[in-house]
Amino acid sequence: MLDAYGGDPRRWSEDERAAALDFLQHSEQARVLQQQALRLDQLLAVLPEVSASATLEQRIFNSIQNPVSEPLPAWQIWLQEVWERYFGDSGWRVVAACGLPLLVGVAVGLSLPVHQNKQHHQQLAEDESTQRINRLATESIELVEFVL
Amino acid sequence: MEDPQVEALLAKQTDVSNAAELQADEMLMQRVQQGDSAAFQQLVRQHVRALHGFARRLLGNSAEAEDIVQETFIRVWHRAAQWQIGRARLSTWLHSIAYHLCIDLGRRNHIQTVSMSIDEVMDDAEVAGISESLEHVQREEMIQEVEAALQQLPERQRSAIVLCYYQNLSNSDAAEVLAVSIPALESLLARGRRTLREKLQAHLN
Repeated sequence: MLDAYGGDPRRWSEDERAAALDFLQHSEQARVLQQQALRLDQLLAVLPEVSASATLEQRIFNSIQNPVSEPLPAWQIWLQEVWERYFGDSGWRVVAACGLPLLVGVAVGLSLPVHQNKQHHQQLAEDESTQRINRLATESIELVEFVL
Repeated sequence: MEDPQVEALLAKQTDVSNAAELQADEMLMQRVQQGDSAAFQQLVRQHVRALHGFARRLLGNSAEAEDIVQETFIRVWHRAAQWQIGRARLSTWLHSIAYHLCIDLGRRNHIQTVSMSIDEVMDDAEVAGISESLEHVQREEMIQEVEAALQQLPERQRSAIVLCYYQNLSNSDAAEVLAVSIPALESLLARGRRTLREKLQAHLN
């Protein structure tokens, strides 16, 4: 507790404070450790209190343009919070990272050997409907090759 | 060392005043949710200083801290309906918004560690009314070293220390802002304080 919160009991966990104070009363070693922690606390306290510019409040008031929004559905609030918590303004990177493999996968799938075997299609049965099918298949392959 | 009973009493008084503050914040926020701009202005006045201090200690830059605070309150106004009584303390919610805005800014700027300019440190020391003397110079150097040590901490450790030590958030509220468990928060605090102790050993002896 001293390592985490320092020597001031006001910063200690509420659940453990009473027990810790009681322990301090009975342990010299604990009191020594508390003093060491308090020295660091005092050192951290030397930092002066920071102050905002005099105009900050007015800038905040001036920046409010729109009325209070209507309550969002619970699922939208959750989605918004999760998005902002884990992705922030970099969400487009996540979308690109997920979408790019998908596009590559589609392209690879279309380029598999079975789609490029023109001789195989030419060896199919010679009746008219089969020839039509062959023609259509050939044109599709050529179109995919053109696109890729 | 103070009497442990006195320390316990002081801690209890702090808890009581926190409960009163919690209730006042809830009433204020309910009015803001109804579009009460006067209530919003009061809310800003009550929390702007604490939030600015928080953002500045995280970022080490006053101008950026003010931008963060402004954006925080803009979001509070436009998303007032999202805050629910009993779900989180208002100060915790405000710190959480400001914290994530600071993190986003840090990612955009690729800031890993930030050092306050010497001028900013000196200005604050002068405002604090410290007299010109050798002691004054030594104190300013100490302030600068403490600030530098704090800014050199990893962002999560620095955030934990700023929230618990300078913003006086409870461990549960600070853990909620950082989206970690209380044991994880305590680990961050312990590691941060250990590093600070090592860097500032000369001033502790």
